[in-house]
Amino acid sequence: MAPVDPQWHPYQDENPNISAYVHWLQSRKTQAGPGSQFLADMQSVSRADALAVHFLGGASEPDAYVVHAMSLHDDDMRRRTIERFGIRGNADSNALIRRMTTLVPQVDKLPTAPGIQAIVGVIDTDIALGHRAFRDAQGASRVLAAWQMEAEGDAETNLPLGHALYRDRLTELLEKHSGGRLDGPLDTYAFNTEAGLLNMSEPFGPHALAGRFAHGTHVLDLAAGCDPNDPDGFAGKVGIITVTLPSRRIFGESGEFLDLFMVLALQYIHDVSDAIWKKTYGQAEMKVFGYPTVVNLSFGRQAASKNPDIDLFPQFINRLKQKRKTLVAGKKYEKAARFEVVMPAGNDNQDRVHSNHKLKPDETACLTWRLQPGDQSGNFVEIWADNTEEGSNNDPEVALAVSPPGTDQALTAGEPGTMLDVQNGVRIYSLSVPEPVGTMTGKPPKWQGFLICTAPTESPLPNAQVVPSGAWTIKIRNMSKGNIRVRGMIQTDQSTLPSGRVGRRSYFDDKDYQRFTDIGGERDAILFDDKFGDKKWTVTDSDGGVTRHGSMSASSTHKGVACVAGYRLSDGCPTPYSAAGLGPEVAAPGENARRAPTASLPTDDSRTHAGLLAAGASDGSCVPMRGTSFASALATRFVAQSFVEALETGDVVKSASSYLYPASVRSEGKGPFPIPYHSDGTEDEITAAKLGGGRISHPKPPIIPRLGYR
Amino acid sequence: MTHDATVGYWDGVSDVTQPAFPASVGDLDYLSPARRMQVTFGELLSHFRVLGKDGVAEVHLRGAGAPIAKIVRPSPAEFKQQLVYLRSYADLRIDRNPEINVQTSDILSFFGSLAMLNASRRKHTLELLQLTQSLCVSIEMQVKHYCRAPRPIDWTHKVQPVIQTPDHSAFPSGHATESFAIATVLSALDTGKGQVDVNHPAFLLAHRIAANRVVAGVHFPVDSAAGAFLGCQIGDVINRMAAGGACSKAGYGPGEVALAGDQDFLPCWFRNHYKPAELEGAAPTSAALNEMVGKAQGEWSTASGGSS
Repeated sequence: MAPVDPQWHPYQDENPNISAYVHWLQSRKTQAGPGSQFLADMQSVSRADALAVHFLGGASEPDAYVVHAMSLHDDDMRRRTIERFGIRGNADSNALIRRMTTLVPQVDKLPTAPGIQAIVGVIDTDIALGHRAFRDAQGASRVLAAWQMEAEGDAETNLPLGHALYRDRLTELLEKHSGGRLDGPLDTYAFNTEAGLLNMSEPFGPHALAGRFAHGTHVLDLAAGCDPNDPDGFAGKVGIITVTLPSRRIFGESGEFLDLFMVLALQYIHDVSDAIWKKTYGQAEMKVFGYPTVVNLSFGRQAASKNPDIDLFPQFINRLKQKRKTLVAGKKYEKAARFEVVMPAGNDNQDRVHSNHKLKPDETACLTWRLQPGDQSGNFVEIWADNTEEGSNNDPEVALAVSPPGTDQALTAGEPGTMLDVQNGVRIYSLSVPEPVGTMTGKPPKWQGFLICTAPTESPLPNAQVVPSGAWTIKIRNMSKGNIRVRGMIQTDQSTLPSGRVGRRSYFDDKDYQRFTDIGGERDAILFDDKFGDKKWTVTDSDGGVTRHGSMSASSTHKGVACVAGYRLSDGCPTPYSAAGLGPEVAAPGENARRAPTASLPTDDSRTHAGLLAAGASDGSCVPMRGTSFASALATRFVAQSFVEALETGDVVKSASSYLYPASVRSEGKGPFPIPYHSDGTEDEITAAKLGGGRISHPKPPIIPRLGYR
Repeated sequence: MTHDATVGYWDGVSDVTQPAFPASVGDLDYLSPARRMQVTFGELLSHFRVLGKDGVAEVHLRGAGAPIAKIVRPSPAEFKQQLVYLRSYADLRIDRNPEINVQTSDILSFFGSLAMLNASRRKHTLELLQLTQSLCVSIEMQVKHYCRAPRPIDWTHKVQPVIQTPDHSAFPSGHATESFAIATVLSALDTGKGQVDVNHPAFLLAHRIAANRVVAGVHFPVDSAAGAFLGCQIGDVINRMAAGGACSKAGYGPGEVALAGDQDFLPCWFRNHYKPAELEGAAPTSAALNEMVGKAQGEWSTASGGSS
């Protein structure tokens, strides 16, 4: 048993379930003081201010907004989220809750969508709604509903922030900015600005649509874009609902508020899809309520417990799906249509952001954590100790030491719900595993979690607090009587501006971690050696310590969503940056945790032709963009196509995973790639960690493919 | 042949009573910019003298009661400690390579991103900044020689700089000296103030130029710290000689203000530690310099009297 260090003190006195990330953010803003020149973290302060200004029109209580936003959920979820995001209830908040009932607008604003058989939802940033690929042959919008979270608020819609445009209004705007004719050339700058998709007057606002590359546009084109003349009939059968997330300066360089916006966005698409269906078919005799809807959510965070019984986001997904099953109780419908979510595995495979140690009693793991110079955003590491290790029959208990370069701090332990300030700008939180909202298996495991937070290593502001760059040390000692597993994860960390280079992510710098193969190529978690080896798959990742295995994003590493990895079209090689599952012989934390992706789709055409071609920011442009985000978008399209086929043939509409996984296995059965999935029957475990069930072909090959690959 | 055809008979007598020529020693407009620079530079340099030995260099200015800058070389152990920063900063190479490559021969252009610096509207400012940089080079090379210290590549083969390591001493950094001197003169023109304002954006840019040399693998952070002090002092001399009055002094290194061996050179460190002291004794005057500075200042003032 570790002696409890009295320097640890509670951080949850005011709010028992406040998120440690939000607590850190708030405490750094507090340090600034009113009128003070001391700004601990420019991004933190600007983000907190941005929340207040944007969401409450200048009010100083961002908490009230969050309450306002979450009121649509059940009491339990609302309570949890209120507490998690650090809200202090007050009379104004309660009044706002009472006014809020739903995210769905008044019914006269909703479109109807007869003929539409399925809906594709896309939650992303920088979605250019005016592209021809998202319009029908007459030029009208195919987008049924579009919520722009960062746009000017609209008192007419029932949204807590931003505004939404529905199909008719979108079509009006298209016509307005095309010289009064839907077939005229679109002034995209004016359209995007009025639609709230582009804001060049906001210094850190959405600017991408004025550039070349736009993440959400690329995703939407791959997921649901099509030729307006649409020889396959896709446009007439698949409707679109989009949610444009706010800029990174609002949801956080480390995604501190990302969960909140993802939850809101999913709830919106869920509710509006049903509302449109009800307006379209409400009086008809239908067995199934609602459109089968598949949502692509190409966002996520690396670090969390990765246990669906602890992490909030998977619990929300589970809750949404559970409630959907009971949606039609007492009504005339037999069941509710599918609501599915598809997410990418993540791109962190090569970033050295994940560690995995098996520790015997009294054994200590030592991580070298390298903070980069020139890093203007804070750094976070989550450490999670669990008892999934073989020979473990106890609750995990660890002591921790976080040492800046040149120092050697003592191991220390704190009770869950307490924090320790190691030095100025460095803090450790001992996380309390929260009461579950609705666990997937019914009981939360007794895991131990820590969050290590540091200030940036550089700031352009005078007197800003910074911490030293260089090689820090994190020591983790097993203080329990049995074996434990300890995972370390460096949280997502991106620059405020998508093209910025000052949000430099830290990494684990382990002398035993091999970055390259023996012949100088990039080393992946697995390798098929057909040149010098005996043509079989082998594990080429570290066996513990800093590993690629396990680097899948926390947001997608659960069975509530279909998780999509990436491969290279030219030879079928798994994409080196595509995050890997846990790997062979590693236990998953619970039956609903995910050990591997569901399936994989293309992310790159070849080694030299990186990325996939799809829509750029400008209408008619075609650009390559790379990432598992785009494999996920292709998977979403595949699922939507499968929904439509099932409806047309009278088959039961199944879950996203139920289409993707068997399709990937069937595809591999035909041996489509030079690099095989199986080298012998025993190696599925090895390839599954990177490719899931296998590789599915590109469901929307570009008209002019690079190198002839399709 | 033209002479024979056009002159006619000439008996060698002058046909102009007195040729027009500048009377004032400070009026150098009749010279080309390059020639003007040579005259002003030569005259300015004559007021400086660099003395040194055993790793210590002092920069003396005629008329000042003490050295305006004293630079002391760190110990070998401290340089070795600094190698960790060569490792850390190497992570930034992919991003910084384009800047590093341009900055091997041109740092002045980067200051053109902060303020209008072109050959028409700010030609005198450009001349003054070029003069500042040339003066730095002549002084810093002598300081480097007295304080000569090995380069990072001399301590380990694992640095592998992305550009050719120069022949001269690592300590102090020439890029840091020149960029901080330019920042000192430019900020004075921009703000209209004689005193150095270390919060001016030009110093952030100067720091980045200096840090890029650590990224490149050819300098230690302590080289940049010392160069910053030296450069600010040289720039300050230019500002004060034109304004008249006394100069300041500042020292860097063991026994003076210094970065610890395990410390990084950051803008906040520079702001907190660069605190020159006033000297007694009048700074020398230079008519040519006064003329150049006056014209440069004229390019920055507006009708309201504020800076443009």
